[in-house]
Amino acid sequence: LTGGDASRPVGVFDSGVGGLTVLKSLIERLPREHFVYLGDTARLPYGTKSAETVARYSVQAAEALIEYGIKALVVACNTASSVGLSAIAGHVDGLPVMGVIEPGARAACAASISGNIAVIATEGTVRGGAYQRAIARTRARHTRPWMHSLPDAGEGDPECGGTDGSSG
Amino acid sequence: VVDSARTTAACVEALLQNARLLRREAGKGTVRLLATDGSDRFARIGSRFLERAIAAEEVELIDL
Repeated sequence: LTGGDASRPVGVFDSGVGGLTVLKSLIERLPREHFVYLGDTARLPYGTKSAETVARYSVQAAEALIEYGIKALVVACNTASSVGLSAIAGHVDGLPVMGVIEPGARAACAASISGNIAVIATEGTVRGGAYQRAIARTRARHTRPWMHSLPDAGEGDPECGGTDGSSG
Repeated sequence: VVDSARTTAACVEALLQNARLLRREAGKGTVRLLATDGSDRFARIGSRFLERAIAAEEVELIDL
């Protein structure tokens, strides 16, 4: 790869604005990088949609970001990371892709002394089972993930940020 | 409570490093914000998550 490739932006994608917390951490950690962030605000929440639909939306978002010349893709959406990551990987022709579940699961395993880990996620994320698999891969024994789904953005109480478009 | 944003950023750094894709030029990078609907709302709510002000004009609307 040439130096030209390295100067291209990193793409970041979420169903809404919650992924901006990931963008913020990326800017802090990698201040010299260019970033293009895409929030699919017209179609959020992803958390209540079927795995097939989330996979299709995720591929479309990845393809849109590729048009911006990205050199890597960060899937900053838990639901898309849970059920859309393999579909994205099959459509992006060698582009490095990073989701949020594997890093989150690894950090949780490293931080948990008792082996108990609570995961609060969208319905789609819990159903997709990616956290359960990632935790099992990282720390197969003595770890018991406790999964709980909460209403996703757009279907909850607006006073609790229910319609604010936070990460699905 | 695990902050998956920070751990993800660390993993992205490692990913770019392994692929020899870390940007070498000096100077701060830029940020482009795209949304598929509601740039006003994106700017208003998003600024809380990004922890900086976002102007609605900064948010480009695209179709997927």
